[in-house]
Amino acid sequence: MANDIVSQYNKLLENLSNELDISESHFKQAEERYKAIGRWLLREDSTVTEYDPDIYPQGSFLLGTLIKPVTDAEKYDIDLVCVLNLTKDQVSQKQLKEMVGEEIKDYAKANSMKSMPENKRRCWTLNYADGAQFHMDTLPAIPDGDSFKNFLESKGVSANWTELAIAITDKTHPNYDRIADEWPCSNPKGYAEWFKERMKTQFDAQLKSFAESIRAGIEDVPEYKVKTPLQRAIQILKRHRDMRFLGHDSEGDKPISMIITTLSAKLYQNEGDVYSALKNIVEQMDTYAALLSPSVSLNENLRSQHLIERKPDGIWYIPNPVNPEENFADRWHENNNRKARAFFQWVTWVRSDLIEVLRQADMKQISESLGHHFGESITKKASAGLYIVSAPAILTHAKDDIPNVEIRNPSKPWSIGGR
Amino acid sequence: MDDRHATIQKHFTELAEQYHGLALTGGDYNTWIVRGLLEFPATYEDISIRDKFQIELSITEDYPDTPPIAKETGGRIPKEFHTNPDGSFCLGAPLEVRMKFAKKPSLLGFVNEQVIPFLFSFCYFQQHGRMPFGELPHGGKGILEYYTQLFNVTSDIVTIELLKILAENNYKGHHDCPCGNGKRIRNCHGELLRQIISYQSQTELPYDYVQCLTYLQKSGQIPKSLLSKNSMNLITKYSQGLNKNEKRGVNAIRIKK
Repeated sequence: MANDIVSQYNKLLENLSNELDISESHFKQAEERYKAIGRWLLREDSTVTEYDPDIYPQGSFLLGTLIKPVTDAEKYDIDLVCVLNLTKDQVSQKQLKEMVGEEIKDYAKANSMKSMPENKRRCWTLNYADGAQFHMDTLPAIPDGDSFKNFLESKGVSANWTELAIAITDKTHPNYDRIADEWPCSNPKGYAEWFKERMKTQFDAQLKSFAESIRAGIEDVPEYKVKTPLQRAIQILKRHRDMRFLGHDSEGDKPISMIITTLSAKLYQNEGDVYSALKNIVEQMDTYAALLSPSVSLNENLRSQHLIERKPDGIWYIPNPVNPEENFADRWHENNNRKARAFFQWVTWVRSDLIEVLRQADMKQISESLGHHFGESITKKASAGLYIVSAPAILTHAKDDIPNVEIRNPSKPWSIGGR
Repeated sequence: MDDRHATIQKHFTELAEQYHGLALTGGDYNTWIVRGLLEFPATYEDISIRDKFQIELSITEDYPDTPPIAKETGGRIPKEFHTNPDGSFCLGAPLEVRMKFAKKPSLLGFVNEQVIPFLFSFCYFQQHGRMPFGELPHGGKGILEYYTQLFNVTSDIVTIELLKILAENNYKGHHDCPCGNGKRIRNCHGELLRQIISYQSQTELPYDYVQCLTYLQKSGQIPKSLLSKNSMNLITKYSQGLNKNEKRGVNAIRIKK
């Protein structure tokens, strides 16, 4: 493959991921909003201030893999965790949910927001009506007790990460409205630590070169200024998924972001460019498609990766890397493995749309083909300046107009040898 | 639009009139590349072949003084088939490629005279398992064979002696011609040597010479008289460069004018 077309394609993918980024002003606005909620919870007459409320973002906002909504009419989901320093013998899930809920409702009233926060299964959703393009989902939580830490450690999860585990609320949980030891658990901070660890080599290298380029110290560079090929690849994969499943029969079964993010991060080998990262990730994901036929068992090598597993009862298993009890694929077996099939279908789409597309002759064709899958305007922006095209002079010639070349006195091919 | 750019545009237009599947693209750093589908019918003696290939012609910095670099990008031509380590075609011995290009220094000339014959060779080889126009051996041996044919001499040693004059930039018209027919160089191989000097640069001639010399040295066919101090110095100097450039292909060595 020609190196320059690969490097131009890489540039295109990089630009594309930049186009998918939340704009800096939106980012600042979102940051400002969640800090405002934090200040509200800590204000003097707050009802929860005595529990040292700690509010922090989780999910793609924290991981640097957030993408713009497909249309301006859709909203960003900003996921927050609100941790109160309480224990499982002091409150029930329901009490915790309502304590946080009261404060968020007051916050909405105090800011004369038009719609009241919605009480969702696990979180409170705040809708900002002022064209801010956000939903803010706040997940009430308490630090998780030692018992659960011990439990996770017994599953072989590093102690660094279990310390960050939290217990959360779930309206459908059997213990929702009574004091109990068993709560749903989560570990968003631990997950973020794990994720950063997976891309550390590239992250540190890019941070260093960015700091040098602005003649600043590494500690002065905000993390969000640096984006690794892994983060870019995930953004591209997520958008590709959104676009490919849009209006498709299996739209309801499209792979969830957590699965895309987790598998990508596990497969990432610190490649230095987006294309190589994508290629590696997708080709490896594809090897697991064999699991769709129940008689097939994977070779030792694939099994030892513990990437995607299938239990003898047919249940699919993609563990949360910081909480093996959480199975991201717990619904993949339903309706004759519909979600699993949608996932592997998507993987073959990615292969052909993003990897094999390089077989096209030039950047113009590549960019046009990407335009079908990512939207024309965003692809145009991303390919600006990458190629100048002089179209073939005459397009209307019939095939047989090509004059025959008569070969006279041909050279004998040579080769440099020494290989 | 500078002169080079204008020349490239003009040459591309001429090429595209005949081959409609090609496009001219220009990316960063003033690099120009012709890409796309090259579909051709070609005949050699009584053999006709029609085929199409995804190709890429990278236009050199000093085009049209030096020929473009041609590659196939559709994955049909394996690395083992007369390609440089960077994947570009080894169309022929480097000097021959240049001399041919100098006769018709345009994209169309290059495609018709060199790229299509090369692709033709490949198609024929795939069908019949042999090369229709023959092929040069790899490396120094092939270069030596090429020069020996070009000088129209029968001994590799004579070829080396003639090449030595070129490589050491030591052409003296009144000396006896190394080919041994008793004439002075200027009345014998001199004209050809002067022509070669006009095509190959002062880096490429020693490069070719050293390749041939190294080949002969390895096969133990070299008389002591040829291993002068100068030659040994050249070998040392260029074999380092040789290794470096081998990785990128001979095309990496270009004349800076």
